[in-house]
Amino acid sequence: MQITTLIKQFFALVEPSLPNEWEVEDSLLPLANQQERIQNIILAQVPVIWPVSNALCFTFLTRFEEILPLVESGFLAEWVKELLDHYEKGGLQAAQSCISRIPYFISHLQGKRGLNFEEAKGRLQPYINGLAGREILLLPAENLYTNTSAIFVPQELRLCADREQCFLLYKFMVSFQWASIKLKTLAIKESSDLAFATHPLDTFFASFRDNILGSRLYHFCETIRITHFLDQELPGLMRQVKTLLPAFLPDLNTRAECSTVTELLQNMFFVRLEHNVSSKTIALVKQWLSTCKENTADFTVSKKAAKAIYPLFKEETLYQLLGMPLFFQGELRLDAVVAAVLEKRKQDKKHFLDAFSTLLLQLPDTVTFSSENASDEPQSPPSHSADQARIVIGNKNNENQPHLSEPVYIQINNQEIKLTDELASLAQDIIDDLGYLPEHYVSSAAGQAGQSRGAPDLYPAAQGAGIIAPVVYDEWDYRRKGFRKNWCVVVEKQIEPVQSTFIADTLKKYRGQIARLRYQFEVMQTSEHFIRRQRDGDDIDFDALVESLADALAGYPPSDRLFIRLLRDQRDIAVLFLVDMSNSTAGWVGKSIKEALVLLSEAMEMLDDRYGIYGFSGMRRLRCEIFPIKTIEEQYDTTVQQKITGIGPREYTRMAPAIRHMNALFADIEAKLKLLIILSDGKPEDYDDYKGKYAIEDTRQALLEAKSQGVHPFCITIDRHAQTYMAHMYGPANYIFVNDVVRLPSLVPEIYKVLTT
Amino acid sequence: MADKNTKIEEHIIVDEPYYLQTAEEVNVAMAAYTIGAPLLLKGPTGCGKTRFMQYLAWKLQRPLITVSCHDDLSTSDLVGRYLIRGGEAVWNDGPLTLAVRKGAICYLDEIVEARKDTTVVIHPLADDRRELPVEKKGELIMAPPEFMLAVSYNPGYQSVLKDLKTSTRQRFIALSFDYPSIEQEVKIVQKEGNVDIELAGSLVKLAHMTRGLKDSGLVEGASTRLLIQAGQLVAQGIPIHLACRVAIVEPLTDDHELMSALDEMVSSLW
Repeated sequence: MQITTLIKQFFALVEPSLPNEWEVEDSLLPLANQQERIQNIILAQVPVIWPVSNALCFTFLTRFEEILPLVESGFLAEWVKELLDHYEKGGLQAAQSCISRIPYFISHLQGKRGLNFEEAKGRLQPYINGLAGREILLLPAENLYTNTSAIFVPQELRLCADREQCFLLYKFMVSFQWASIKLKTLAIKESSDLAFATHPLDTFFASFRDNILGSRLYHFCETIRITHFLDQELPGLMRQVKTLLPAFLPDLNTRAECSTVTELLQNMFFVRLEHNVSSKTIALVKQWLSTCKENTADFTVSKKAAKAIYPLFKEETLYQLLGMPLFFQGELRLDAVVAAVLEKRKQDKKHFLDAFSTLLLQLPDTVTFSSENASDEPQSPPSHSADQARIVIGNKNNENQPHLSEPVYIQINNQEIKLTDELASLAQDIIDDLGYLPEHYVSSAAGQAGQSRGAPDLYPAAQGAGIIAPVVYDEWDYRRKGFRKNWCVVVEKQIEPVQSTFIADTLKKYRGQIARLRYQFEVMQTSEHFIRRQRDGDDIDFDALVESLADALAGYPPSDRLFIRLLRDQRDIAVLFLVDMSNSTAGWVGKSIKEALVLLSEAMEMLDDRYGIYGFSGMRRLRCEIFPIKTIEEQYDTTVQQKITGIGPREYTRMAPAIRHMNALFADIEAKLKLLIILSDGKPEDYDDYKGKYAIEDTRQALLEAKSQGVHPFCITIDRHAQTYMAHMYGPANYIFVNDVVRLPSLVPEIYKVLTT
Repeated sequence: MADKNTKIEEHIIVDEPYYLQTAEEVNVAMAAYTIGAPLLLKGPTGCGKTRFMQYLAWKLQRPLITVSCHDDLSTSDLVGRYLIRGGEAVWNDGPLTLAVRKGAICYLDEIVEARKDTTVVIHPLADDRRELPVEKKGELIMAPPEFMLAVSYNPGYQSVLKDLKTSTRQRFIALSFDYPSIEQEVKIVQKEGNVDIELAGSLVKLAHMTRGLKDSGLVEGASTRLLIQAGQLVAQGIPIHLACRVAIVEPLTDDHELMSALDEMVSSLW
């Protein structure tokens, strides 16, 4: 294709946009000399990228030569997906760096790839939680380290090509870091002083002439201790690691017989050692290392060992002996540990204060709080004994673990206050950390409680109910068969209750119908009935018995269905009605929808089914609005009626985020049958590019998500004719179209009845 | 009725069931039996509630009638009903009535699963009246001193809908069961699973890891029962990784990621 044809094609692809012609020509130039097949493959991606970003599309074309290998290897579509993800996360710059990393991407896809942390996280996170018995967050970072409350793991692992091996290495790295947390390699035990700035190990390392070497030596001794612990604790893992390790540690002496990873590491060290020093020194080092491996050893042993080994060697020798840090050891980030510990103390204190002051507030007024104690921090840090709160330690009522004792009472002003389970474990956490429970925690909590008592309630329950912070949802882009991450922002907005004669008029207009509906719905609720002629049941069905005796006498085979059984159907239904409030519903359609809601609510009152009503509208992806008209817990009352009256046409119909929001609401609702009924008047559409196939596919995707979550969606569409897209979007038998608006009010309750019986 | 009389004998437990006492529960239960109070056993699944009842029945030398409750269990299923035999209506005692008549121990397992109206029939039995009205026959059966009622439920996973009624709860001596301590659990797995102490120890370690996953999406961690089954499989010659997969990992979850995380734990331990 000549450049002119290319330009023509390009304009056809990006219609209706009209980009600058010279810009198009510039970016298409590199493509002009290529074979037509390649040109077509490249151009096929233009409609995918163009709507996301025009600039990105031009960059894509200008850097065509770098992209060429992808065309050859057939991974272009895959890569474009990743490119768009990068663009949406980090803008054009991130996308450009994604282009630079193409060679890696190809080898990645061809199997010569390492492993991404994100890919491994799904398996690793629960694994480490299980190991630790609590949540230890795994977070991506440049290098491996831990701050004792989370483990930071390298983003990508490319130590070996095989993905399973990479995963094993990841697993070993996090297991090693977990063990170092468990064995308290970096624990701050000695300093129970509340405001410290440096880690005690910092002071310890500073006591060496070369503090870096000191820390390396300490870390080496700890590594021996940790691997030894892991050898015992996780023998399966360590056996696998042992076979893998020599590939990454070139100077490991693989010929020597080693049964464990610890021996392997020690062996590596001793082989280096033998070239350098006397056998007496070797014996001494060996002895220290085996002390580190004793089961009773803790980190102080490693400290002593480091202190003892250090002077045995020249510093250059020691550097040689220790070699490069091992990949699984991770960095000793003492500053991060200090920050994490201080943060945890702050959190613990805050939680304790909140929980304890809440507890105090619930107590009768007899407990007096002196406001003198109310200062949050003591003026000067008192000594530990003076600041120690009086607590009564008792056996937690746990027959199986009688050795576990937790604080049960705290004494304030000679009164014993019994702690809740939550508080007891919080107090225990603090005692574990500091060694005691500071008195000023208790007095501050008492102060907080004293101040709050009698003060007006700052957050009355009614206020703010229903208004939640904006929620972000993904959006499905069918062109790239992937989600646009965090694309739509959904806000719940209150609808203003409106007083008018609408409700009264509606009730009057449909009074006959309402009475009939209420009766019909009431019948639906009756959930107990007898079924006769059963083989087995609570009582004898005498009609059947008489018949069977008569049959037997007459020589016919008698029936064995002689019992009555009481059948109870439990209606456990939760339903959300999602109402289109777009501009197109103005006029008759809107009024009919409102009337339908009134009729439905009137009828629903006869049932125990829980139901909620929400409206939706909005403009563009950053302002999708949801209007709660009746939440699922709310009673149908005048406020709800007035809110229904307040429903009016607003902006556009971006349906999918609203559906996703309903899905999120359903996640918190427990019911046997979850039903989502959508009332709309046509195709989903928004002010931006959200229209046509894109909008239909996104809506379809959101409905599929609902189904996978166990929610049955059903759509009632008001339109003149049935449209072909409906079956595709909603799924066959999941929708009904109503062409006569006037019938809508009576139809909606009917449909509900049919759906749930 | 003749065949009924022989049936009760089948409920007598002849051999001593293996049960490792964790605290004072046996003494408490014996005392409750003496004073004629019913028992309520709480605790997670597979932690030994049923085994405890078997042990108690053996110790008291009373027949044990166990009813596993389900949401279709009706009052007639417990008390009894008329059946038609050869054109005649014959009364047939339910398990509860049978236990009351014979002075046996009636154990209603997972009582909250039964419909609420059903549980009300045990009320007169569970207080000092100790009587069972059989409405359909117009009979009131007084429970002999040997009769004992015991119910169990798992407060952990049932939804709020399935809580025990207060009026029901407040009739029982309640014993709370939990997984045994590490040493005791190792002993139990070793004995019941027929494995060596080392394997038992690792199995218990695995169980503790899975129990730590409660906040990560696992409803409940591996029960002692699962550990025993895994041990028994190993004793039958099934390789340990496979045994753990089929006896622990697969029964615990269907979630793909959790399953692979559990697999990783297994492969770390062995």
